[in-house]
Amino acid sequence: MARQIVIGLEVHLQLLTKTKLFCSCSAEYIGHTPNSNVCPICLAVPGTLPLLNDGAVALASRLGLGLHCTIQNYSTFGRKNYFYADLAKAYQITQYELPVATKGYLDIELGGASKRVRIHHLHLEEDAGKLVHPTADGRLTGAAYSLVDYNRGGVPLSEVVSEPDMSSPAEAKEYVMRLRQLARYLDVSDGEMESGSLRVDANISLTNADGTLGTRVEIKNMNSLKALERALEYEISRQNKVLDSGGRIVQETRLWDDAEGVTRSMRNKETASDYRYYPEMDLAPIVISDSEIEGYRQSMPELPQEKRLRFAQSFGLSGEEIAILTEQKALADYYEATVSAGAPTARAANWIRMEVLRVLNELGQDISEFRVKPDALAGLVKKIEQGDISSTIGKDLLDLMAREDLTLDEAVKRLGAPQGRLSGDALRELASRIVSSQPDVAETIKNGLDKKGGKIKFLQGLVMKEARGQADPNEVAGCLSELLGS
Amino acid sequence: MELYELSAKETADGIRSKKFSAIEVTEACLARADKFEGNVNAIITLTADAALASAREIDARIARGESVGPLAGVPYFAKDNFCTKGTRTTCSSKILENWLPTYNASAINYMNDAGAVMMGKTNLDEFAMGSSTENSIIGPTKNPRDLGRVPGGSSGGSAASVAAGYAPIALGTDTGGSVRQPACFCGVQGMKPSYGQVSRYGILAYASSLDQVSPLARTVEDLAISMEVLARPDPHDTTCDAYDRPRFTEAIELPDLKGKKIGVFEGFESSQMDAELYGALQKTAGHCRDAGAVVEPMDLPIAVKYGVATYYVTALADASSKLACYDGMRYGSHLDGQTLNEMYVNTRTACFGEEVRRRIILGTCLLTEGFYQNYYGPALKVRQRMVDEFDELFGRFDAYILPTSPSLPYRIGMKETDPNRLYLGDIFTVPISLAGLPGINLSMGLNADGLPLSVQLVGQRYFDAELLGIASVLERVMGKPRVATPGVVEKTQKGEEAK
Amino acid sequence: MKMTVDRDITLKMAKAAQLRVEPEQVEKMMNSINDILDFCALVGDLDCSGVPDFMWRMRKLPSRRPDVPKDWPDREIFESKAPTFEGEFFKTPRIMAEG
Repeated sequence: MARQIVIGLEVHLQLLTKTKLFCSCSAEYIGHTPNSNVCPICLAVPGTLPLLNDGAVALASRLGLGLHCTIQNYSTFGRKNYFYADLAKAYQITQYELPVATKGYLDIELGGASKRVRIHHLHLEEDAGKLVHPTADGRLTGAAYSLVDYNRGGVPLSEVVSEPDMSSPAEAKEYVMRLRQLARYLDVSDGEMESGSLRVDANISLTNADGTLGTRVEIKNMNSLKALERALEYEISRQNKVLDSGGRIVQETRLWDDAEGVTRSMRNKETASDYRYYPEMDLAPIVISDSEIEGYRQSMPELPQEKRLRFAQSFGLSGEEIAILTEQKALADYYEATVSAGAPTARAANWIRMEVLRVLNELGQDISEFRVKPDALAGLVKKIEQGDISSTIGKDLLDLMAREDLTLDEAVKRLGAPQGRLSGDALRELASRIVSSQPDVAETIKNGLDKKGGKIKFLQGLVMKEARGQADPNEVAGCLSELLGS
Repeated sequence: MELYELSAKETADGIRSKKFSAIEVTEACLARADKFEGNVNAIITLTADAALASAREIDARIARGESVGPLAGVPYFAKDNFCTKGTRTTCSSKILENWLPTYNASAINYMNDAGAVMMGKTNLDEFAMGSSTENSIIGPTKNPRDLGRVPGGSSGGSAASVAAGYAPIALGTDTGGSVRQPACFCGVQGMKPSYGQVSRYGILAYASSLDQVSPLARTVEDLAISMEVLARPDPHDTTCDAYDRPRFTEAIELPDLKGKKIGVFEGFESSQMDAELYGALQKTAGHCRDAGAVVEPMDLPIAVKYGVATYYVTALADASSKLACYDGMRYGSHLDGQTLNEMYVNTRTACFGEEVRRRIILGTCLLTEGFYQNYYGPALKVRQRMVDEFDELFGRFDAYILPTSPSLPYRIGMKETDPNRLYLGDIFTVPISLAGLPGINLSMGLNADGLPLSVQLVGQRYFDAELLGIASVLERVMGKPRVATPGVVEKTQKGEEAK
Repeated sequence: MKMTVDRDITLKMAKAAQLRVEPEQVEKMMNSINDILDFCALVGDLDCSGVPDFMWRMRKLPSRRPDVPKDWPDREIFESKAPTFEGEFFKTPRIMAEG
């Protein structure tokens, strides 16, 4: 009998505050001179005391509300004590007993089915500094010395702890994607796994034969969604093998090795089994009044799930279209603005999904940097809808507008696109020019060797392209048959 | 009267009214320290030049007719666990032997802003762990009232400097009695404010939930002025309360104790303490009655039985965590090692003294899984029960009188070895710290051997001003402590024994 | 419940505190810890069922720090005195997995 998979995730999100959690140092650390964003508080200078960042409380509360959690009026901090070079105070200030938000949920969708993952709690804590090991591969092993950069030390993190409600690696991945999307919608975190602003630890177990929960293993060190999925898949098969051969699962922490594609047991020595948690008395508790919570609630944007539902109802779009359009809040806003500016809903959706995203991708831009504003795109889409210009011309116009920052009118002028459609003599002339430019192809067709009609289609394509789509394909076909006698 | 004998109030008034100058006062105090410091050993770092410069500055400002603060020209010392920008701050430890902070503790800024003249840094037990000021890198401080005896601790240097007339005011920190007990041993007034009254920013921590900046002086009025300067909200310390403090100097105008209910602590066997100190307690009860108070006996069964154990568990656990930052990397002393752990261990083992190392290891143990459940966890709840016990009593009383110490100052080098007896020394001070209450050591003069007698007044949390009021009424009866002449044991003359 | 430490636990605690106890001192340290553990076991004797953990209550909570960055002008002075600061980093000896 197949054992059931039980997965719970702990996701650390770096909060997008300007300053650190307990001091007024800039919270930026990527690309900064090492140890430039430090101060007596985050360097643990004797006599200093932590000063809680209001912005971090606001962001954690927003995320908590987005996860349908109860925001606690009263929460406290604790200390997790351990010595390490990247931890200046030799303790991390975290919340472990009374966290800022508790009991919520996040709905995920997989294969058209919706599933609710319960959130146990969300808490605030500080990040550690960064270690640089000057070995060739940047690893600790073999480094004669290490360098410490405290710029990241004290950057605020919010840890979201789920209940063990996921039952496949795909669900786990979907959960992280939805959580990341939510965090981005709320401007709470940029959620980049690669740069470490989103970190996932997974707890996974397989149920016993009698259905009871099995022994839990924690997996760390997954730096991408792909790695998360692979690590969980590996761990499931590893645990199954152990159990099949009559072995027992050991409760432990394992590290994912992405290069080798395996999880490895952290040697027990590396696992600090006892962090000596106890209450932090250098900080007043976090007291959030009901009116503050109401204020956070009022400032909440529409959540991704709500937006998806509304898009389906208001715009009649397909599930796939909605998923793409609502993935980023900015893109969804762009779509809505385009529709508001008069673009038909279906064509606007199609154009954004296919063309706008293509151009953005080619330009390496973000939607916020896109030079074609929604009303301009709406103008373009309307012209296409009305048959004033073809889709092909439309694409060229969009490219020009985006690359050269032109208005629709300027782009039309630049392109020199024929305003009217080509037909009659003008079309025949063009077709004749194309045929003479392709003597070999013309010869093949004339000799009746174009059995499948591929060659004639090729010529039709060239004519249409030259006409910038502004011709009737049937008339083009007619002209070409006339010329080639086919 | 000599300038060094004046109270802070008299000093500031005299300077403001140009009866004498700040520089004269500072010089008089420096001369006093110069004369006796060889015997007393109260000072770790004397900042004479900076003090003279500040005094000159005050005189210049007064000459220009500028307004000056309430402590303008008043010399003061600070215990060497207050951060002082650019002035070595050692905590009496080798690990900070040459540490120069880049900032001032808030309390230091407040004192300086009030015009007080910083004279230097005083001796303490290493990291404030001790109650005799013997455990220090500069050796023991001696009690100015009897050089063969300890000054108490851990703020022994601050208490001794006020008693010996080096300055009218000194700052100490009180974690479990570290200001009240040395004030008691040296025969001066000392006040531990309510927890949350004074900012802890810039204090080298012993225990976060207990440490409190505490002034020492020779008059209750000077304590009140100090409190007015020190007790205020501070954006650098979120455990420092944001409420508006009352005028402490107005509170000491209280004429008598009419309408006050005062509890006299009777929850111990008189055999457990010094007979004269027990007598002092009874005498104080009489003074309270005479001043119009209703006096009734009271008891603190939980605080007395569980206080010391709860205190040790709480303070040692916190110390193990707060002293973990001394790892030899970013500041303080550093010893090399082949590995990171070796560097940590070499630095910490060589640079923390034996007592500090012992307490850190103990504290680490108390927080470890298993021990936590049997010690730290229960202590957190017992502490709450102690708070509740006090709260209940405050429904009936405005203040209590308790002993500060069960014994008179003991001889230097007489290390107590029986831990149960050692802990008894803190029995009357630690419950007050655990519950965050204000406590004042009030001097009652000297016994026949010239040793100070005193009593501890305890008030409700945040009722520091009211407590100062009661203390000032009693001080009018008991008298203000006089400056000691170190080396001369003052034998009380007939008819002048403790009031 | 009263607890005690043996030599091994004493050494384990010292290690967790990054302190060395010389072999001839272990016994003394162990006894000293046991004395305190013995005395402090008192805290377990009081019935505290239903009593919440102690936490300070305040009259007026200070407002939280606004999220506005500030520079630290004394950074270079600090760095010049920091024992392990070199160039841009704090430098540590080899970090070994604890053995």
